[in-house]
Amino acid sequence: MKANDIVIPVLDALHQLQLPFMLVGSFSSNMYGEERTTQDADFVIQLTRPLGELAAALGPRFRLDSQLSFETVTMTSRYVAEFEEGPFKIEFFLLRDDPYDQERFRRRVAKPFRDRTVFVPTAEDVVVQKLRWSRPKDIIDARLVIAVQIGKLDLAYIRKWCAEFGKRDLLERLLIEAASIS
Amino acid sequence: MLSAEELGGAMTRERVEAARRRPEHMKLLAGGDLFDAAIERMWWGIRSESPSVTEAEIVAEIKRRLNLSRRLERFG
Repeated sequence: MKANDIVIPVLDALHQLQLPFMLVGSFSSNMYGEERTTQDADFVIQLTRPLGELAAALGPRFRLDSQLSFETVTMTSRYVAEFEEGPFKIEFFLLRDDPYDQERFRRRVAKPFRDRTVFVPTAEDVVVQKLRWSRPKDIIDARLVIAVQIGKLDLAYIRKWCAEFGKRDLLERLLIEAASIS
Repeated sequence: MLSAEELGGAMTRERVEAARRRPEHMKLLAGGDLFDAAIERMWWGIRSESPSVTEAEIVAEIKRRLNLSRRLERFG
């Protein structure tokens, strides 16, 4: 089964349970920047129902690990689901109380994913989140999103949050670089 | 150690304009499609390295490599 085919029943389960969600990670940065391969689909979800209901809605072809894991780099907690065939994984990150995460989630936008609807962060929030974490791959993604989207971005919003996270200098450097090739 | 810019490659006007031309709905699906293509190449690579391995062993090896890659990616 193809990777995008595996995402479809996940979207169906989230819609069925009416769990607020957004698709983040490479899927969203690909959409605003330049495409690269991804090994998993990362969702931020507001888990308003028991985990068992999500497992049931996903169906028997998914194995949802009930063990919550915590990532120290990004300070996020997640559940991982594996599809029975193949190595593509689904990760469900729990929406945090952090003010920025709440704001990013509130601003999410609906987009088509084949014949389904998916919610994704705005381009501005992809940039802010990538610069907030600032791992090498995040900076690579952020600079491409900025370069591709420059002229359409709400820079005041991005600058505000980057200043909050101490990333304003990095942002300005990437903006100068993007402007130089546009 | 290479900088993020070096790792990401030169960001040329042509590269950026090509990314701008691609429709969003196609770019949203591209990561999964590229993953499928990479897995297929990996599958054949393992098969050609070890012609006697079973399909289950190939899948297990692919999972092992991807799990390693995920751990590396997770920490930057």
